[in-house]
Amino acid sequence: MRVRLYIGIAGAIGAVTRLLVGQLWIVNGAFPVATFAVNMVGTLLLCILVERARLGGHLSPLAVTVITVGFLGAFTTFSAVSLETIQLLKDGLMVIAGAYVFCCLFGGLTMAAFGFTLARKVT
Amino acid sequence: MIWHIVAVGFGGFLGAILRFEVSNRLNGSVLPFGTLLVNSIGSFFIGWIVGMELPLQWTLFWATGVAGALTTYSTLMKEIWTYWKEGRIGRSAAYTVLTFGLGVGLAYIGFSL
Repeated sequence: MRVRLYIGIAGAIGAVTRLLVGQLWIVNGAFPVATFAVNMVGTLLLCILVERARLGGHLSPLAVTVITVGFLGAFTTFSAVSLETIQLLKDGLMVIAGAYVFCCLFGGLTMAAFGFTLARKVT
Repeated sequence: MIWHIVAVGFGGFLGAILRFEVSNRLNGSVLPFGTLLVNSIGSFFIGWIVGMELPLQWTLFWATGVAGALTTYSTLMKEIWTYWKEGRIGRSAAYTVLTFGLGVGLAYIGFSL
């Protein structure tokens, strides 16, 4: 039961951090830079933590779950990517919409690959 | 500003717990159906909420908080990359197309309601 409470609190902090990044980082232009940046950083950190834990890191399994599922899970978001993509399409910005999905997907996979590699290097 | 933080914080609290429960029950060996489900429902939901044009406070709670934390990008990328690394290219590609197709499609349907 307590794990749910911890995940909820970590999720609240993650979501608020995402809000602050979006509100403090004012960017001009149609490309949703804030969501993109949050998702890239979150993916990198999650993959480092998950791989470190698998290799026998110093964090307890509970701490890893709370940070990855709670904080990073709520910090990063998929729904905003979906919403921003349809908003770009509605505005007739087809090329930017396509570029956004492409960057999110391949950027995210690059971050994941980089995170797993980095976790093995730092021993 | 403080009320924006409170609204998103409460929403994030609920969304994260809900995602944890769904993922625990449904993430199977064939595909992470739990992650797929929360990402699909969350995309539909954020489209619906934003389409309704609620007062800012409620949009922040439901869209940025609940839908934002219910869905996740970091775990999604980890799952896709793990399948790819294990040589399960078809499964990796199918999961990617399914997630993005359902996500964008359902957000559009939700927004249009």
